[in-house]
Amino acid sequence: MSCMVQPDITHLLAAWQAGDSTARDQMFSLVHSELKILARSAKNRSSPQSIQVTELINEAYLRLAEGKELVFQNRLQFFALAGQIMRHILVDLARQKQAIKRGGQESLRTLDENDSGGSVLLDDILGVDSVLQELEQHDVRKAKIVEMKVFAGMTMSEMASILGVTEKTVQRDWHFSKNWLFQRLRQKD
Amino acid sequence: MVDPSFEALERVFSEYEDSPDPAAYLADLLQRDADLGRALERFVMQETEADLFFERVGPMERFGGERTHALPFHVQSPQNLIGKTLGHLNMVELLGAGGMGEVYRAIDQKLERTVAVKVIHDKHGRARESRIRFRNEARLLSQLEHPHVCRVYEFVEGEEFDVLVMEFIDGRTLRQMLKTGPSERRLLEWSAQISAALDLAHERRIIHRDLKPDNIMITSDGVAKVLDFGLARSVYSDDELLSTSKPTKDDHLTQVGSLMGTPMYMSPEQARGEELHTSSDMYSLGLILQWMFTGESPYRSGPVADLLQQAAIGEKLPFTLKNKNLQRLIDRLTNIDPELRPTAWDTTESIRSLLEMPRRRKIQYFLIVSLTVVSLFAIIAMIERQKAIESRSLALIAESEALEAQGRAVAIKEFLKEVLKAPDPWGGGQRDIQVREVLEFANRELSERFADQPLNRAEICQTIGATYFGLGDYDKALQWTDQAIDLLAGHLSEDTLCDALLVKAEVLSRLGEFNAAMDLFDQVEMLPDVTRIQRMKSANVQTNVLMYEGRYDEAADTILNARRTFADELNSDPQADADWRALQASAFWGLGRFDDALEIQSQLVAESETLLGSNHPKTLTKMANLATILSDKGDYERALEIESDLLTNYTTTLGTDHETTLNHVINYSYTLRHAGKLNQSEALLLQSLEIAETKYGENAPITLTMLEQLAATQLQKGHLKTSRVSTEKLLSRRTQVHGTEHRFTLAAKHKLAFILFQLGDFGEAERLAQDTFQTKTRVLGPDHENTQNSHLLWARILWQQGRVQEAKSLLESLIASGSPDQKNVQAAQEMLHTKQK
Repeated sequence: MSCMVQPDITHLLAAWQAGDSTARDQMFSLVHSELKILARSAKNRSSPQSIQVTELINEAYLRLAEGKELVFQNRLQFFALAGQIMRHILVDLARQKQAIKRGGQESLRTLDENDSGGSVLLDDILGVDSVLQELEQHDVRKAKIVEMKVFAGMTMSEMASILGVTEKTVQRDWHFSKNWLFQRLRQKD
Repeated sequence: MVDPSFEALERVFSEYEDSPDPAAYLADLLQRDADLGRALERFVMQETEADLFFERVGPMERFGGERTHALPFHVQSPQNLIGKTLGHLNMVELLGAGGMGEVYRAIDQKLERTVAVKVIHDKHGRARESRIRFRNEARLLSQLEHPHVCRVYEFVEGEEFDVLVMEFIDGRTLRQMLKTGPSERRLLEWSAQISAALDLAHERRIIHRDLKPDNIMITSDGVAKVLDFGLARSVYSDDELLSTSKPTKDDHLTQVGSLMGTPMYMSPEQARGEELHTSSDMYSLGLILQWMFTGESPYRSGPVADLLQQAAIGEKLPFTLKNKNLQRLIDRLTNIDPELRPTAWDTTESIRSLLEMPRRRKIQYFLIVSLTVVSLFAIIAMIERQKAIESRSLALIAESEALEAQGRAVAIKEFLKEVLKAPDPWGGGQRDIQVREVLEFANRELSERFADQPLNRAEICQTIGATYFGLGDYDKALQWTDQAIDLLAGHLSEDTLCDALLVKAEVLSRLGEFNAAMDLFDQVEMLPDVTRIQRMKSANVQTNVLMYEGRYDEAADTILNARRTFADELNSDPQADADWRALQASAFWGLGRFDDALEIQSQLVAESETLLGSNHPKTLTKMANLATILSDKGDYERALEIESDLLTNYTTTLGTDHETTLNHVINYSYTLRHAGKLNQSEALLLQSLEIAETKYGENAPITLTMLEQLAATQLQKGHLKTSRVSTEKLLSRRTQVHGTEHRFTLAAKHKLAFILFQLGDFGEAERLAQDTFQTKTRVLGPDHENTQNSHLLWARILWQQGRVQEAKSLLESLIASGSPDQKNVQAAQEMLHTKQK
């Protein structure tokens, strides 16, 4: 019997943690729809070039957790998942944008070069996504780390904790991956 | 050229990264496998570019590092005002923007000056009250003039937006400046400036509410300025302040301030959405200081909700600073209890004293070393000289030389006494230890060199005894003085014997043995050939002893008699006369004749200032006494003025941890409490208590007195819970130090019973009150005022619980045990009377 009441993410996360794969799927669709709404409204609200992914994830987290405290491990799980979802959403948005822009050739990037920060530039997303798929072919863990870091803004220690490896390993993986991805992007250009 | 396989590249990269010398590893690899080596070289060379790329693409870390809370929207302002004119303001350049509006550089054409203009849009539908509040605050802010506050010139209300015209600051935010790696001294200077700005605002009852590194600018002249006082509340509703999706602009923008929001520097009460007081800003300042001096964010990185949660319970990250005083200050600022945080004034003072400290420490150390050496040599020289005089025939030495030598020995002795007894401006806390070392040394020398010279030994024993008295070590003082008196038995050396007897009398009075002390004055009188000077000295000490016992009227009589008897001597010795007048002022003070005391003491201060200078330790002591008289007279304003100056003076010359400084803190905080300045009193005591605990130990008398004062201040503030904590601490330490029956222990226990009674914890209160009453009855007797206090309290506790019969019988036994003129007996009668009605 399915239930129409919106499931509680605390329980979903706990169930997922305990190995329940349907819980993971439920969780995915829940977070996905939430993030999608937020991302769209953010995109409409602000300039179309950039989106603050961490803010969105935080917002989604707040809404879904409804003020409940999640245990640390569950929270990390949530963010790892959200990173993955965020990547999908951003790729979708970027594709839409490309479709709207005739030909998708002209770069609309008007951000100041000095303007560094937590936003993800949609123009870069498609490129990153494709080389990230390549990285996935070689090394799943490295790709996961990039996803968690770039799309969910997770810290080294958080990633180490969720992957069950040392921080040093995460660090080494990230160092390698960023260089590798960047090199691949340049080779493609 | 063929690219190496993914696996090969990964392997060499890992080896390269893990190598203790990566450059050597690469060189070696190029030798072994040129292709792979070159591939690795290319691969690692692009690291910086890759970093830049990913920094631009992704958020990297949530709230972890520098860019974490600056989560920018690229704002293409829909209402770009550049080149437009708003009244007399010509908008020149966009300085920055956030979700709530933009900040422009503009020219005020009327006054021909550059200003910063903050345009606040109304698109978020700010409530009407919020706008009115903003207008009121802006008016208040425009009166805030301070070198470290960004000046607000005017406020213009528009249809679609409000405009705030501010001082244009040519500089960078504190966040940006920190990246340039400023020195600790620089950081301390900025901290003091920020705190001073808060002090002024708090005085005007303006709370900043959003203090953070982006709201603090460092001008191109290196001066800190705080932006946006009170604006947080006006611009955002409280909910908005807590909300997560606040559009912000990157931190390279300046003077954007409150247009960005972060919970990173919020106080716990703010994160909980409670009403805020000025103490909330102090917490934020504490977090900023932690960030400034550690370079690390004060909270564990995590999502906003988590951050808010950490903030709400004050769960910030632990940190360690080399500068322990600074660490303590930050700990106090970030106390979860707002009431326990220091005020902006106190904080500014603390930081300023930190700025002073390193230099003073060095000077102190240098002088301690030289003083020790001087003392040591002086003692040895004196010993050698005396030895010479004794061992050679007097005839062989010219009479003048002998006299000179003797004179020098006496001078040295007097010098030593002076140095060791007076509050020593250079000693810092080291003084006791250094002096004790000298005394131990002298002791060893004594037994070796003077085994067969009892008179010299006696003289030195007496000096050492007097020195220990000066150090407050009464047991040692008594031991040495007795040794001197024993050595002198059967010898004719009245001067030394007289001195030894008088020191012994003073020591005994400090130990509470007043009768034994008084006997010694009779002994002095009965010395054969006692001189007038000796008798005058004796009268002087006698007065001291009387006053120590609280017998001020007898002391006043003794002084009057002595000044008459020794009028001739006093006329020719103004210093001795001043000493007698000082005693007189004390006696009058003890008798409650404050005006008389004040007149004499003011004169003494004036004389001392002319004679010794206003910073001489003796002048300072006289001023402290003057303040005590004023304070007890109820002239708090003048008392506080003097005491505040004195504190600064002691802190600068002696350091914060010198016993004299701490003693003064007790006096000052006492006056503050009586003057109703409870927060200041409490903050001062908290600060000094920590210093005293670290320096002198948790159980040192000065620490315990301070703790007692703190509990009293907290009680007066109505903070029963904090006062309870302090009193419990006090009771357990008093019990450790004095045992359960000492009057200090009993006083603390009585206080605790009272506080628990006020808190409604009747069971525990009753147990303590009963216990205190029973012990006091045994130790002091049933009719002692202190016993009656506890007796009465016990009855009140019972009454409050509705146990009327038990309470009544207690009151009746209290009335029966005392006499009708005792105030507790009267209170008990009154209570019985009203309750019966």
